[in-house]
Amino acid sequence: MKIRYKLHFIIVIFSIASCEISLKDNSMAEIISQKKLLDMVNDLRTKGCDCGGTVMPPVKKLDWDYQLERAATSHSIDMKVQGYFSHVSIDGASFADRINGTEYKGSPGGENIAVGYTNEDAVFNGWRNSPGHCMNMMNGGYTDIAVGRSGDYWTMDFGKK
Amino acid sequence: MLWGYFNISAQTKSLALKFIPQMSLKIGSQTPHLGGQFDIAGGIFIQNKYLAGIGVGYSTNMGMGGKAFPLYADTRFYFSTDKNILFASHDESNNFFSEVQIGILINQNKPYKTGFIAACGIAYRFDFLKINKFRIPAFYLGPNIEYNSIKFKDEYRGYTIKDGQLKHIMLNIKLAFDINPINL
Repeated sequence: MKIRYKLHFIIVIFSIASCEISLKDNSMAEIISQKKLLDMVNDLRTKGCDCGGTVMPPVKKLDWDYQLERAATSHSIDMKVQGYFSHVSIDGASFADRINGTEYKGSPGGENIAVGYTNEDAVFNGWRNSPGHCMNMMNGGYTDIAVGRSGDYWTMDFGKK
Repeated sequence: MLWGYFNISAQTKSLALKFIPQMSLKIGSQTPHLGGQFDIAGGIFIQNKYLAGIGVGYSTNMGMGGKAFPLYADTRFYFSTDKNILFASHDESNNFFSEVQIGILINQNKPYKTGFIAACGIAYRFDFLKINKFRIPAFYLGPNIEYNSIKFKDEYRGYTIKDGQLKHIMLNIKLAFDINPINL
């Protein structure tokens, strides 16, 4: 009986420890599940897949990079605020310019953008079912990834170190 | 919290300096969920009961932009009584202690700022092996709950990328070593 009480105590302590109290973000970016997106992309990469008829072999997992997240998030916000949908910003900046403007230690790899999706599963499946975007996610030369969202605008940036 | 403890000589005077290097496994809610921390705490140990000191550490992978340096005030109360609960003891060995730590979490990794940290816990020290005055090794077992909050703010290309505050609590599992007290 005493052992049962002790086990309950340990479970309670671990439950408390795993409770997030709060995460508040007042920016125009949406809070997204980095882990979910990273897991979905890396699961695809490690298993390999068929991107619209092109067989893509398994490749190494990607790491999440905060500098890429800055580039991706700023572009999603910019598209939403200025009302456009393009890889080239209104000021003429390309995805490479946006990544190079951060403190990212590597070089720009590629970019996927999307609009109209409301959650991580939907936007991932949208990219997964589009051959060009799918091949970007399966590119073995990339080492880093990040996604930024503002409203229903999404940007996924890749980099290589 | 699981404490490993090593002590090879006891305090003989009412005042002593005590140093406690610690390694911690930290279980928290933020990604990544597991982190590590190395600390060294030290201070004045009074009458085999009270410790008033400070601690400094290096913490990694706690969902706060990677690396941070906790700097905190560390106070402990050792239940050093003639009648302890499990085993006979006249000092801090084979006994409980409680601890309270309050301080700052220095973090300059974008987008995070310096935050606040507070922790408290209670542990039991088991001294299994004693040869003359040598005790090797002894272990502490008990929970240590940590709360911390940290603000973050970052702008890029004229837009606010992040602006908010992160708060969470976590469980620490520690391995601690007690350096010989230096009697004053």
